[in-house]
Amino acid sequence: MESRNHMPRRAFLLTLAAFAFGLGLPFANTAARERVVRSLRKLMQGKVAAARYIGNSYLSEPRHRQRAMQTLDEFQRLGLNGPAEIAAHIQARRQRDFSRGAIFVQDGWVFADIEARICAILALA
Amino acid sequence: MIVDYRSSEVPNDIAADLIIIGAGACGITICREFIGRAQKVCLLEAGGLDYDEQSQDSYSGKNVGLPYFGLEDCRLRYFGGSTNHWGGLCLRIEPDDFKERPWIPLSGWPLTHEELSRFYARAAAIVQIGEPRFDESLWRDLDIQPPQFDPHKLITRFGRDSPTRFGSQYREELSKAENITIYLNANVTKFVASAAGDHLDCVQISAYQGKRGVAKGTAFVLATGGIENARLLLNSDVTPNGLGNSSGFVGRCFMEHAHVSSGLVASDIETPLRVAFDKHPTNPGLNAFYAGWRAVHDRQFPEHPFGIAYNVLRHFETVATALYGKVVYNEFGKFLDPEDLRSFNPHLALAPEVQEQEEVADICATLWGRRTGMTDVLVRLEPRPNPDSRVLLDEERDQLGLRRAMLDWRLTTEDRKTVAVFMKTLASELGRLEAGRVKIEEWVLNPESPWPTSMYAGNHHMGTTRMSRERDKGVVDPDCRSHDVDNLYIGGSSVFPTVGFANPTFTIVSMSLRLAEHLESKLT
Repeated sequence: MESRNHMPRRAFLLTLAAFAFGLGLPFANTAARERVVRSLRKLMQGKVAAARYIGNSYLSEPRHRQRAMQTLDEFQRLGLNGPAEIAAHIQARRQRDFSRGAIFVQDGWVFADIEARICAILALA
Repeated sequence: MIVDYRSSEVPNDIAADLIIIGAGACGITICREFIGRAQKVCLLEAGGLDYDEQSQDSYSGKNVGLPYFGLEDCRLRYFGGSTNHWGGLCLRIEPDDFKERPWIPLSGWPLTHEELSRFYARAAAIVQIGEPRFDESLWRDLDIQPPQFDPHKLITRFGRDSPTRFGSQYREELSKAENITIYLNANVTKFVASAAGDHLDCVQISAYQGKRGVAKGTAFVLATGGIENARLLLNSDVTPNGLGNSSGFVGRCFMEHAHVSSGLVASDIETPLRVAFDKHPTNPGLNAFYAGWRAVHDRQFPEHPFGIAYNVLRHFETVATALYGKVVYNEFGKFLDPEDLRSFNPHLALAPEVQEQEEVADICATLWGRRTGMTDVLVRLEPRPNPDSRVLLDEERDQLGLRRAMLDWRLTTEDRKTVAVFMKTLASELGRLEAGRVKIEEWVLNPESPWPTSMYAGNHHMGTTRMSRERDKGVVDPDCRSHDVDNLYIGGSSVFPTVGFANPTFTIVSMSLRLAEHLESKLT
């Protein structure tokens, strides 16, 4: 999905940014974080490429990277490991985000901020 | 009595206490209020009892602004006026719509909701909708559990379906009234006023076959519709800018309800939410109706600048079908039947934009955990009063010698923001309730995009002789009397200062009842 014709340059830069982030920060090298990311992949039911596309778009705003990391930390802190636990947590957060208007719009689709963060975590992983 | 002005048995010159120009919803409503009273009333209708090409031609004109219907197609010039092709939808203007919103220039009515709403029950009887109920209480009649929207963000309103054609419905009653004479084929061609232009003596009338005369009255009501009211006043040579136009507002602030497909809502197929958007023509107590939602606007929520209603264009069983359907709609300007749509799918599936959107939609559905159908939502936008959106005069003249109308309909960037704010609010509320997910059309989010070619309008011509308390901000005062001409009143939606999202006819009828009450007190 990242190879879309209409935004190759942007996708390329984002890929670079994600790569640099991966090199520069201790992202996926803890077992707990790996477990969370694996659960997120399961949650996405094999649609990881599309999720990354959305995540990369979300990460084009620099401060969003910090938010994605905070969410990852939060999942670890709460001990959320399995897809079902994470899905329940996302649902609660989604309602809160929509309630306060914390949304992210991708290709017109309106996502709750937590959903965009999940996609961003997958893009960074 | 109904007479044909062309007849040799009808005198050229007419005199009455009240001269009403135009036999549409406003003119007929006011006329009915005078049945059996002491005052003699004359109703001048430019057309006959049926559609006539020659009469209708006077409505031809040019569009020089946003694409719009032909000016000869979007209104009707015969007895009953445009109610002869009225869709019949009734809604009331919201109480908040009457209030001034300081962040919106020219907003606010010089009368209150309470002053107008006392006429709603009678207006509802005239348009035959039963009780004038449009609010959330109708959910109970539908036996549907309503979506629990935050009332500070979205409110639900129901349109009610009127069967009334004013011409045929009220013709017999008016023809029997002894104090009322309806003159058919009597075109008003000129206002004859005092030298200062502050008092109307009579109007010149003309039949196409050459007969001419005048109609003298104590008071005059101009009720020919939002485009024609402005055209007739601007055509007057009594004062340099047209009659009653010292403020310069005659013709300005033309407003329409732009109808535009603005997004898709994904929701479970059988939810009450979807059921609510289907018409229920079998409910005899309520007539047919549909639900629409409006973003609330008040000081606490200045980000909701104006009202919007929406209803559903079409349901789709799957996300993919909806996306394909939208591509076809954008391509061909219409929705195809599901069967036809299926035959298009193999080709459309190759369209990259469909493929991409389907993938993003898929993530939305996956995270939401539901498989959904889609509904295409039609937004009906309340525009801001914009003096640059206006009715002007063309150089070309009609067969009566009057300059034709030229319409420069405009919408602003702020109007587009209204759509965007509404769609995001709708998305957030549906998302919060886990009731649906929203895809907003690209043009809504991109200020550089033109308004979509699929946009159309409601045949609602409003604002061109706006009502104002101050004479420099409008054309008529709170009694609908011209600020400049002491015995000229203007009726219909041309006096609306702002327009809400409500279809205007119910408000036109209510305002006409109010004007009739005022005229009765003045003419007694």
